[in-house]
Amino acid sequence: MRALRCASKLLFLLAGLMACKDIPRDNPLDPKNPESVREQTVLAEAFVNTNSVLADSVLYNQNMLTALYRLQSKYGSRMVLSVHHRNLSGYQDSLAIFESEDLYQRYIQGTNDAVKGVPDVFINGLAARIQGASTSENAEYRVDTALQSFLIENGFFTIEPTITLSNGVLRCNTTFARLGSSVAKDILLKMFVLQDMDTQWARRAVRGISRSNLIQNIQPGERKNIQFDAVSGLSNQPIRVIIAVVSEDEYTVYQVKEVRL
Amino acid sequence: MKRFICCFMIVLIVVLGCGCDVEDLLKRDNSSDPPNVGNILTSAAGFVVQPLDTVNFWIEADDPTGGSLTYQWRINAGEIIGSSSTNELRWRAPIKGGNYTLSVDVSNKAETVTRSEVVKVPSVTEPKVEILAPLNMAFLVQHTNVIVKATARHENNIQEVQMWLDEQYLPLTPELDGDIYLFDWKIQANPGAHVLVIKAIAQLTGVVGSDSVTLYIEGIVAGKN
Repeated sequence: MRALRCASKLLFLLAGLMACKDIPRDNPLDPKNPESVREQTVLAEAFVNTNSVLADSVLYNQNMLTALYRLQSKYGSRMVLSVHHRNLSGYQDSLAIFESEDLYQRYIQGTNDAVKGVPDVFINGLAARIQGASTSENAEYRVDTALQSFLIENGFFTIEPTITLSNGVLRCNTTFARLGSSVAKDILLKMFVLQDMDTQWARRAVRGISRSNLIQNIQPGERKNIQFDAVSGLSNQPIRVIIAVVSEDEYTVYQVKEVRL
Repeated sequence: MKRFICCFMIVLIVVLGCGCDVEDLLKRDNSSDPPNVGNILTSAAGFVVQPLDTVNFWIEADDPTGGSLTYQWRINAGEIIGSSSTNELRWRAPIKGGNYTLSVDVSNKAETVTRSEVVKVPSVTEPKVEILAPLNMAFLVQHTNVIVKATARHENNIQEVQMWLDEQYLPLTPELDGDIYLFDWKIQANPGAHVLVIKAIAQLTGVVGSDSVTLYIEGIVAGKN
C-alpha cells in the first residue's frame, strides 16, 4: 500500500516536471521570450545656454525649456529629458561641461549642413532635431509632434540600474538584456548624471557623462552587466541618473531609463 | 615653256573635237536643289497679335530649278482666312492667349523647306503660382538655409519669378529645375510668423500672379561654430 502511494507521488512529480518543460515562454516581460518587448522610452537631449545676460535679450532657450518641462510632465517616465548647457561666445553658462560640448560636436558632425545654435534638441540621438524656439507653444508643438512617432514603437532592451550614493560618490551598476528575437551589435551604454541645480532654468542639468566599453553583440534573451566608473564631486542637489543603450556612434538611442535618487 | 604650250594646244583640240561647249562643262546640274526660302514675315511687330485681331504672314521664296513652288501653312490655333497654300496667309488670332507655332512648308519638285515662328497672343490671365516647399505653417530655423520651391506657369511663359517676405523683396535669383523654381534662402528674418510670397510676372503683359504661405521662424542663438 505504501509502495503504491509512493509510486503515485513519483508519477505526479514526473508529470509535473514534464508539464513544466512544456510551459511556453509567452510572458512579454520575459527576456527569453522571443516576442518580449518593453514600452519605448524616448530620450530628449536639449542643448541650451541660460546665461542671464543673454536671457535679457532673447528667450529662445527659456521657451524651449518651458516646453520640455511641460512635455516631461505630460509623458512622465516615457520621456527622459537631459539638459546640456553650452558656452557661447560672449555668453558663458556656469553649468556647461566639456562632455556636453563634446557630445554636441559629435551630433553636429552627424547632421548635414547643420547650423550650430541653441536651443537645439535631439530626440533619440539624431532621429529628430528641433532647433530654435520663438515661443514655448511653438516649441512644445514641434517637440511633441516629433515624440509621437517614437512613443508608438516598441523597445527591445530592458535596463535595470542599481545606483548607490555615498559621501558624494555615485556608483552605478547596470544590468541590461536584449529582448525580441534579433542580435544587437556594436552598442554601448551611456550614463548621464543630472542634477536639479538651484539657479533658474537649471533643472535636469547634465553634470557628467560616462560610457561603457563597446559591446560587440548581445543575443536575444541575454543579460549583461555594466559597471560604470564612479562619479564624484556632486553637490547636494537632487540627482537623477539616465542610462541609455546607444549605437557605437551614439547617433541612435535604442532604449533609455531614468532613476531618481 | 614650249612643252607647256604644246600640252595646252592638245587639250584644246580634244575639247573642241568632242563638240562640247566649255560653258556646258562648267555648268552644274541644279535639278535637285531645294527652294531658296526666306523667313516668315508679318506686319505684326514681334509676331505679337492681339486676341481676335487679323494679321497677314508671308514668305519670300524662289526655285533655283526655275520650276514653280507650292506652299502649305499650319498654325495650331485661331482661324485661317482664305487659302493656306499660297505664299501669303491671313489669320485671325484666337481669343485665348498663348504662344502658337506658325509653320509653312515650301516645296519644289525636289525638296520641302519648312520655316516656323512663334506667334504670341497676349493673355491677361494671371500666372499660376504654387509654392511646393516649405509648406504652409511650417517651422523654419533662423540662420539656416532652406530651399523654397515653386512652380509658375503662364500661357505666354514667365518673365521673372520673385520671392518676397512680408512685402519686402528678397533679391534672390532662382534656379530652374524643369518647371520648378528653386530659391536658396538663408533665413535672416526675425523670429515669429511671416508671410512668404512667390510672385511670377508673365511675359508680354507683365501680369503678376502669386502664391503665399505663412511660416514660423524659430529663433536661435548661433555661435561658437
